[in-house]
Amino acid sequence: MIYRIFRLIWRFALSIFFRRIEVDGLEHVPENGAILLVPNHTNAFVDPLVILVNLSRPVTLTAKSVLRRNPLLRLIIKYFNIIELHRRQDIAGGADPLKNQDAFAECRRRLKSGAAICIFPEGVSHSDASLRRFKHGAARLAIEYTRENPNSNRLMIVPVGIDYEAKAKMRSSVWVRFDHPIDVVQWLQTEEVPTGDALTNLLEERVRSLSRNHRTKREALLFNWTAEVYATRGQSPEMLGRNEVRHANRVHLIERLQAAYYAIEPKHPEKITDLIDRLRAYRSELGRWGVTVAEVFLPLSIAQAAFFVLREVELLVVGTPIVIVGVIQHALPWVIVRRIAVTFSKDHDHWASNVIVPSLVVWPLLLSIESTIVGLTASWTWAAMFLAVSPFTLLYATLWRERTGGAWSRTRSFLLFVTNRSTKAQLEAEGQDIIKIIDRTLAEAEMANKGTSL
Amino acid sequence: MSLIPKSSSYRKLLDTLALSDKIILCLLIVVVFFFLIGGDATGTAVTLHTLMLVLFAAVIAVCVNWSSHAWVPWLRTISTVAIILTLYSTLAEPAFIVMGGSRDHALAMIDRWLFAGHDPALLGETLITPFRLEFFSFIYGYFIPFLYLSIFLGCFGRPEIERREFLEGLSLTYTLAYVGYLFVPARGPIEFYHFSAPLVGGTFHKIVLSGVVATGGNHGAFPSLHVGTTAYVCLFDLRRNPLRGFTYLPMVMLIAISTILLRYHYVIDLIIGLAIAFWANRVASRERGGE
Repeated sequence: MIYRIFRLIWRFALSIFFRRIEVDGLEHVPENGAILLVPNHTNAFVDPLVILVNLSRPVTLTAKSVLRRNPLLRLIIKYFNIIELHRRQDIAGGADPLKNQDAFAECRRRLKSGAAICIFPEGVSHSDASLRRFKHGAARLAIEYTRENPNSNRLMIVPVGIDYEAKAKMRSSVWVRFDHPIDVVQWLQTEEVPTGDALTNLLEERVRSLSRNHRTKREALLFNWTAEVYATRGQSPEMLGRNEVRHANRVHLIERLQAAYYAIEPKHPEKITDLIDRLRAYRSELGRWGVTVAEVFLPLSIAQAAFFVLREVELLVVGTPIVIVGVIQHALPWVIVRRIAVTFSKDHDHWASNVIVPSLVVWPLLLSIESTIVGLTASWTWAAMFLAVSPFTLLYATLWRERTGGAWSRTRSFLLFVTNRSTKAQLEAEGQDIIKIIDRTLAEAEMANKGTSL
Repeated sequence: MSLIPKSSSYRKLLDTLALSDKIILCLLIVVVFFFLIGGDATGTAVTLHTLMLVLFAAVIAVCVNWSSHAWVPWLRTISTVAIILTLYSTLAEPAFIVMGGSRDHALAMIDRWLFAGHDPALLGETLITPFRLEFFSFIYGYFIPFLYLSIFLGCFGRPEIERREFLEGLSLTYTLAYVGYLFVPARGPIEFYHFSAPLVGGTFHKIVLSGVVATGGNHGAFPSLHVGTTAYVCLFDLRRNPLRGFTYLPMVMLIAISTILLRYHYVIDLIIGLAIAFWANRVASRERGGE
């Protein structure tokens, strides 16, 4: 029950932080029986959260033992029966790798009772351009468990891929993919040399296919830019507030671009260099004017602009009273949570965790204090209403802020282009040209790949 | 299996009609037959609604014939909205004559049953204060600009598929509500119950009262179109423009409360109004789901 309530709270917290949480392959996760979930690990405590809020069955988490030093995380570890793993690199921080024997024994015990355990084989949350080499713990656990229990509670390993649009950015998207499970009993029977190394390699390969892997961070950034330009297709952007293109589609596009890049670059490096140079120049030009890629293709139609103004001004005016209530209720918790996140985040990896985890304490605490004040100064009925509407006002204020930000950006770009039509024409032409080059490159790469496969 | 063969010209004609056209044509046919049954007592209602039917059919014929022209969606939309808004003030009053009186008694009984022997309208009387009366009058009156703006934004300045979807849901909401107006005519708690004192408010309440008089007085209590249309618009927006949907979600709830406190509707009217909105939204989204 407590787990369900917390899952609901976490789901709400994640839906405030992320604009979209896309989930695919849920049908691959067995509804009961022992399972081991093995995801990639790029966003600290947020990674297990995005998995467990999307699964109907309870999930046992594993975490590095040094998290215990944080009093809040210590509480979470205790109440959610999180299994602590002791890493070698944390010995200085008090970790004792010898205790891992007990930790894995506990994992096996829980698997025997049909639990779902989530373990991160990379062993650390990181911001690398590609997946890190897997450690052997997950594979070892799976093999030992299966050998101990060959006939009961067959273990399935579910590879999971988590892809963040921009992991430290509020209101970005995340895509979670669950892949076909690996039946460990069957694998042990069919594999020629069923060792921990072999299973680790298989898991790594499967999770690699579910995550984005680039040679360098610079390369990852280039693909992001290219996809951003190409995704516009040179057409006017969607109305604000529409269900945008899925992040999954964007990832698929990046994968296509990446395949094309690797096919063309060895044969025609000059083509790739030329495209990259143009992209860089285009991006810096957009930055100079302060417009986004999509805004370049905004139509300069008065009728469409009038509808835009009507739609946005209506929301601005009618939404303002709700936003005012939202600001009164949530400004203080937000300032405090932000302060905590700024203080404790040394890198991008922990920003989202340092926003979401403290929120679970700060928000309820401050809202309780605020509603008590309302109860004492007005009435307890008002206090109850104040508390009851708070999730709605938080969600609303978040969406409204995002929407007005987008509306302001479009208005600014529209006015800029109305007064500088030649600039718009130039940016549009360059954008269209780049899209054509990308189209040609993709077609060429597909031809080349066909030739290779023939 | 369809009763009409696919190859027949009648079937082809039906296929060229938009769902909203079919809904409004059916409604007008039902209305005309309903008043024909009522005979001379309904006065000019038969003539008026027959004229509306003929005019609408003519407009649709024009739309079908020149379907590729850019002005056709505009004409279709304007004529559909014009018909549904006009019917609001033309069909409810003569319905009392055809049905031989109001059905307020039955609606009040259902309300009493829903509230375990209590009358929600009379309970509402104990909650009203001058401030609340003004506040809820403002909310009740806000329905009109909200509805007109929603219809405008729902029908224009958006992709054709969405415009059609919006219009279909709206037509369905109004049509089902009008069927209620015809067969369950009611004037609402304001005329049915003997309240201890009439509602006397300030500027906003006076605006509401004059609005009610301008649309033909107290009629069309069952079901609540205030709740039905606002809920439908809100549901449509929650799918197509979530922030606008969220923006008006509190407003829909307040409008529902205001219709009770201002004594215009029974609780059952709200429940049926909401059910119609949900169903219309479901039908409209399914109809366009494949596009």
